[in-house]
Amino acid sequence: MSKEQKSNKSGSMGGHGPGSGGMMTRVAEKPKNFKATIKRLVNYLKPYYVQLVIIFMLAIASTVFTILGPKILAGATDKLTEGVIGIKVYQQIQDNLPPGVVLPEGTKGSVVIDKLDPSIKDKIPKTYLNYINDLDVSQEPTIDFSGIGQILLSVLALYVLSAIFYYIQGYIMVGLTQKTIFKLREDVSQKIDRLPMKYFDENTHGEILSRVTNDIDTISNTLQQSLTQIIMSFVTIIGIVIMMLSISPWLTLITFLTLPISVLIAGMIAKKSQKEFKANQLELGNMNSHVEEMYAGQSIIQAYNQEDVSISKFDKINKRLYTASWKSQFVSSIIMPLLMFVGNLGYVAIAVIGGLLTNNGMLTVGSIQAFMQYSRQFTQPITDIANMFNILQSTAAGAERVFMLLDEEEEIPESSNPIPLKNIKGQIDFKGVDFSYIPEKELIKNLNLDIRAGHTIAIVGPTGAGKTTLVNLLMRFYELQNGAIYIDDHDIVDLSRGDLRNQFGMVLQDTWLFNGTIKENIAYGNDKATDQEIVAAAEAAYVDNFVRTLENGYDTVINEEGSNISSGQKQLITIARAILKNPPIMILDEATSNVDTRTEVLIQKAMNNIMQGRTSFVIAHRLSTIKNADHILVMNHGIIVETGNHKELLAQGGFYSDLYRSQFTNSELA
Amino acid sequence: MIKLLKYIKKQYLIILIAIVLIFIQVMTNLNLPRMMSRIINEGVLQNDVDKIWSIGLDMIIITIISSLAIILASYLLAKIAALFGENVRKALFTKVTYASKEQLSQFGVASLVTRSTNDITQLQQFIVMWRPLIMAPLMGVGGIIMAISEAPSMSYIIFVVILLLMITLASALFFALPLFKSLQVKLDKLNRVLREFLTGLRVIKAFNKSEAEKQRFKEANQDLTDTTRKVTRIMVFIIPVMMLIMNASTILIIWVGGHQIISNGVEIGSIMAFMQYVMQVLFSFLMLAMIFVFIPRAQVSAGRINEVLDSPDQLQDIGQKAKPAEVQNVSLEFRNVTFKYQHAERAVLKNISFKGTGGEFIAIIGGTGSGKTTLIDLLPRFYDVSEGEILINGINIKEYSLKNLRDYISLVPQKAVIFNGTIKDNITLGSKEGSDAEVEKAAAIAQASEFIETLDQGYETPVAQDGSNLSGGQKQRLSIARAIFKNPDIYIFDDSFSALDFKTDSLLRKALRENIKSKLILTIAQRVNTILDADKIIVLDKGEIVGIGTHKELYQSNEVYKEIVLSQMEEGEVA
Repeated sequence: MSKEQKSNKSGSMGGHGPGSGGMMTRVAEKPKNFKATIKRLVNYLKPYYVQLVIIFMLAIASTVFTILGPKILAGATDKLTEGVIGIKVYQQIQDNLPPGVVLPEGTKGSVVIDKLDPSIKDKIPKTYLNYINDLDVSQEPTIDFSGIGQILLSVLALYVLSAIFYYIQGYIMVGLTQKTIFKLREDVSQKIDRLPMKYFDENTHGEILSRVTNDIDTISNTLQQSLTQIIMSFVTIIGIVIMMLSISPWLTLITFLTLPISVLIAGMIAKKSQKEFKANQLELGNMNSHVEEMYAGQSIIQAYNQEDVSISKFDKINKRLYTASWKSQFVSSIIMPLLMFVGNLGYVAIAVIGGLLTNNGMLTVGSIQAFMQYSRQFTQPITDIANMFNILQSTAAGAERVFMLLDEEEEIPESSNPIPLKNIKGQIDFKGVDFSYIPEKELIKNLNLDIRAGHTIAIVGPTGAGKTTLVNLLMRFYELQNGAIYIDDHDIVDLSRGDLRNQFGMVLQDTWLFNGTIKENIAYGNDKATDQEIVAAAEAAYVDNFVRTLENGYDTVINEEGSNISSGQKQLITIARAILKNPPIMILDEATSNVDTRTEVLIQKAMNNIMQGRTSFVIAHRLSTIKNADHILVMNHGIIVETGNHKELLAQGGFYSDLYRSQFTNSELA
Repeated sequence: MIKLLKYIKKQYLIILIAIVLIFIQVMTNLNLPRMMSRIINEGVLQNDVDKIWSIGLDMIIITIISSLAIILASYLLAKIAALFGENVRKALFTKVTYASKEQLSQFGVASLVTRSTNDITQLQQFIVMWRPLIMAPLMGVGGIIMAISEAPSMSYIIFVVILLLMITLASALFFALPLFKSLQVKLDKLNRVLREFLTGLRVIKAFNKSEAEKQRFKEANQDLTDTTRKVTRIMVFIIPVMMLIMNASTILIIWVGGHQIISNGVEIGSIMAFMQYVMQVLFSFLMLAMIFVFIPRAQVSAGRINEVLDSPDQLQDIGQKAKPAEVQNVSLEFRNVTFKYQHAERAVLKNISFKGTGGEFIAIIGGTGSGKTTLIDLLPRFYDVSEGEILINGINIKEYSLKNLRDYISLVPQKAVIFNGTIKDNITLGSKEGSDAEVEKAAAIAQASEFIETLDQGYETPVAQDGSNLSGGQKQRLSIARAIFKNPDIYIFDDSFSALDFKTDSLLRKALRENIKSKLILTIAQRVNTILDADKIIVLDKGEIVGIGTHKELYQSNEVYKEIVLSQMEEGEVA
């Protein structure tokens, strides 16, 4: 898959910027079994229970300290307010004292205040009357800065501690998450090695890759952020409710009144928005497929003068996309303003009611301030928890896919004490072999073959005839249903897979080279090969000359797409690789099908070199390559329809001779 | 990005209105803390209940105005963003539809699809983000002004806090950014190792290298894990520090504000309002920082779109000529044609000259990369010749309008292109008109009627995208039927029989020769045995014609041709 396609995939699914309403508009994937998957995921964290407990305690402590802050801070504001009111009252008393009168030291406010003009007393909020009554009004009161300072310092200490705790828990969590994710990836990699080939027939590479990248990534993010966040959000909600109640049950009630309104609005819009979002996705999908189709067939569109038709069809889809797009965008973008509206109404209510309560002596100014801070913080954890539900859902969906891969049935384990193979001659026997990929569809039935060491066996037939199946069985990529295959009289089931496969050299149609130097690629099957041996193998494969024309010769790095070397040269390199491995049995699977006929000649020559003195299997749909084989198996629709050598088969006048004649109309040629 | 704004040129007034609305929203919202401060100062501290109520009422009115303004602005912006997407998409699609093959291959189909869909969606998202983009600075500057006017003597606190935040963010980014880059590299590495593992699984197992591959994966995994750990720990550090800065600033405000009450006459309510303004300023600052993370992304998308829109049109459709009425038998001539890709050093085709007339069967043969497909692509002007000229009926093809030129030709590419629609739609593609009988006749010649008639709905059977419900051979036959239905003077087959079995292949060839006798047929061939009866075989080697003649002539005189033949046969059989 190209990089662009990858980005396309992730982009079209979740292209949400901030301000678009975020999670509420996303259609979350649903896992099949949420509970079991989450439970299993939690199991992965089992080795870290102690750390998790520490993390949670730290997170809770950090949250509690943050929540305590405003309430304590309110004390400072109150001291400030008292000081200010005290000064004001003192000044008014001084202004209203008859000239020459000096209040004796220690005169309480209560003594003086009732003797004054009642308008002064009316101006004092009830909450602060007690303070004034106890105040020594004989001298100018001061603001209690040492008290305020103490409060502020203690709050600062709380905030600092909270930050430190937060950091420590995050730090531990990172380590723990990364260890878990590392293990998960390793598990997948180990699993892939143990899966039978069948699995890879049924699942694309893209799917498996996306398990390791996208799905495991999602899990990683959730572990890192969401786990502690859930706990912190709950603690925050509970803590704030307690704080609000302790400040003023009445104001708390008002805040709670705005809550259902917010939930109602958010729910209504989210529902509408989901609908619009789906409509938008649908139109985007239509647009995508039209664009893809038209771009892919662009030259045909041009050759048949269809440009206008294509564009007018595009216009219709584009118009629909426009409508769907602005609607979904608009609906999701008004969630925030509407919630803000409700929030602001709450704010006003708190300001007004708070003010009234203060006047009635039921609240202090510092408390109004603290309460406002709390009510502003209140909605955040609630939306967080709501979002968390979606996040957990998609995490479970991702984890489920990863676990599904990990649960796949594995290859049959190797025999516990395998027979070691030494100096294999290459005698191969198929005895009563039954095999099919899918149980309902019988492929090979009671196949008996006796292949002598050093012989060349050709397997021919049209594309899709199942020619590779025999090779798959031979190398034990698949298990037989019945019968057995013997190599030099050893049943392959009694051998270790590694030992068995070591006996084979393979040259496939799909030239697999890895992202390394040419030298490394040739030496792939033989780490200990010397430079001379590598060059000798390359010479035998007729690729030495080519390699030497490259700027860096054998140290040329084959790039990721393998695009710096032609497919013919790649094929020759894989032949060199097989030659260097020097196995007793060779498999050549459609090795020449993707190259032009002149390179084919070269490859043919190289293949003749490689087959010398080895038991060889040649799979081909071009018949010219296999005429000299000792034995030809003709396959069609997965079954062996004819066997024999070239001459015998031609004489039979069956499928093989038809096939042969379709490729070579000899009489007309010269 | 700015360049693309021309696609919403006519909407400037609406954009302006949206900006004004956002401005109103921000300004009204900014007034709330100030009014709350008045509730404290004038209401609570003066024990004036009426004042509290009247200010409260004003606040509600303001809240309503503010919300209406922002909802209306959202509506306008959503429409503008969608319109922008629609217009840019249309421009891009039109551009690509008329683009030359060279432009198309320059970008690649997959990439063009991404640019036309995903990149535009990205940009649309970005335009919607204008709301916070406009809002944030207004809120920030407005907040600073309000805060200063509320308590001028404390204004320095705002700047100290912003400075602290900036230092934190900048230093975090300084450490994290390079790590983010290397994170991407390591993720790619892990992907690559795994992909190699998967694609080479069979070979890896055959070579017994599973352990080595798993080790390679483990190393990449470890590397990725280590880097992720480092990056995340930096990110984890930022959050509590930011929180601490914000919280500490409230403490600082109360402390400083308290002292200012005596010396500068600052009031309690003002301290509280000031606190809220500072929070707003910090918030808008963070919002801006977040948006700036998105700007490069939008820039990348915009760049990729502009790249396509700005790529120069190579084909000029300025010819006016129509098909000359008097000509009965079509004639084609390549006269010293040389073709070179725009930025290539070497020419793909050199000095190509040959002639053909209606009724002839001309085959082109040559190795991979010899320029066969490029040669036939010059005819419908998918590319324009670099030197020399191509004449149809004696007229340079550039003098025809593109439409008239392409009416001359039916092209059947190597890989059949099948469109979403019915079987019939796929055959009639070329011309809208045409009786069912004609459709059926074309299908019959293409040897397609047999399989079409076995389908449930016959010619009305829907075909999936890419023809995924048809076999390769069926797709090729459909695409050949399409060419026949068009009934042009020149047929081009680019190795278009490769998926057909031997029997169908020869039946099709026979039917073609009988039914389109008077037409000129150009065929690219891989296998010699399919072109033995050609009137002319053109042998291409490395972009040059190395021989023209019949099979017999060439086999005797032409080395390259002989080599090709021999590579497909053993010598003994040929003689």
